[in-house]
Amino acid sequence: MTDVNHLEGDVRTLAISRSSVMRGMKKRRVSFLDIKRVNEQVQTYKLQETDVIIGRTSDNPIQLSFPNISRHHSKISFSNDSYLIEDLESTNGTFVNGISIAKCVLHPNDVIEIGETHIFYYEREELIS
Amino acid sequence: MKNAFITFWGCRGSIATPGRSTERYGGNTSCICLKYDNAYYIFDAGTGIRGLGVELMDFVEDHYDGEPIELNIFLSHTHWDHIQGLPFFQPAYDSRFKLNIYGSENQDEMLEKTLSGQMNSVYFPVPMSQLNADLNVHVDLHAIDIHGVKISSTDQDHPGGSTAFKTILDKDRTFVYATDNELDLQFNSDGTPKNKMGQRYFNFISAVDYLIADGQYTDEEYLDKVGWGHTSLSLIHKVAYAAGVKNLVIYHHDPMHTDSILEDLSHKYMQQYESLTPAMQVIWAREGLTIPLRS
Repeated sequence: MTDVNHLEGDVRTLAISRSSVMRGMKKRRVSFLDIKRVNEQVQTYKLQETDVIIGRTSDNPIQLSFPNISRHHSKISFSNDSYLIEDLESTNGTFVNGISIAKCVLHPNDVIEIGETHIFYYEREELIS
Repeated sequence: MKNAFITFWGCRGSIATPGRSTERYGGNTSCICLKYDNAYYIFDAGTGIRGLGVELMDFVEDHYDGEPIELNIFLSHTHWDHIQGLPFFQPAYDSRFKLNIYGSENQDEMLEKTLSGQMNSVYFPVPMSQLNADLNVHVDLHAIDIHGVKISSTDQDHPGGSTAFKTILDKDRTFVYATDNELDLQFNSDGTPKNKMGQRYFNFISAVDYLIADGQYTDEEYLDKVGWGHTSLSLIHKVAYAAGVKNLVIYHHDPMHTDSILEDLSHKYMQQYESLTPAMQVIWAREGLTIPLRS
């Protein structure tokens, strides 16, 4: 077990440079979608830098097979270090925090509504080597 | 019906406020862009216009066909937070663009002189003469008609003066851009006009589909800022509702209002006005948001 009293007087603990602490470690912001429908378990989707289409048909990376969802309903893309959601001229619209949008830069805690599906956007910082 | 979209490039009033506490609503100052049938109508040129310029440069690289791309810029007035982005607006330096700038003359200075003044070498390294776009300044705001889109204006109560613009896209879609206006001096606390300027404003915004309006101060903050040219939040909601506005967009956020303050305020007023019959949708403008303009 470490003796805290001894460490307090140990000047070597102050000599650790920032570069040695940070060596080999980079931080990256990672974004996720939690997809929630009533009476169903939450599905988590990790976003990459490629476009993600949300829609009713099976060719969509995020498939929501429900009648009020358009075949290709919304697109999430990565631009300027941010994720952007865009409505693909869907019949019933894409909503962010209750507002009908054509496009919207996403921020943590935004709630996307597509039909009766709620999608929660959030971010985490991850260390990468 | 042709598509029409409004994008918010800068929603902050007074001064740009970058930083962690303003990431959600954004720190750039006033600038919105209406895109309608491949034409651009830009309202104010605060620091937000820089980002719009970047997007337009990407667009021109892919879509330029030899014809100049027309950008119509309407300036509510020439206080810094409404013109400061113009020297950083890349299309202004590019001959593939044509810029039509519309605005009222200031009492003391010609509009063109005011805009070139901020590019004086004392303030900025590049002179206005290096703007290569076809640049035209218009100070006659009567009966503007651009490709069938009709734009009218009215004076507002703001130190030095400011102008509100009403855009009529077609018989079903209208919106008003009305920032930097002190309605508290023109309206009673119940939202009824108390002078001619208030009555004129009330008529101007009546039954519009979207009103993008100054809501800089809370009611408590306003008490210390009478005469500064901005409106208290309760009053703009009352006036808009009484005038039959369908969608009220709160804009020109105070630089002291962090994201969490704006979230609290937006929830309070959205719940209040969206539960009425008829309901008025309340949108808190945020940078990076594009909304479809519907009737």
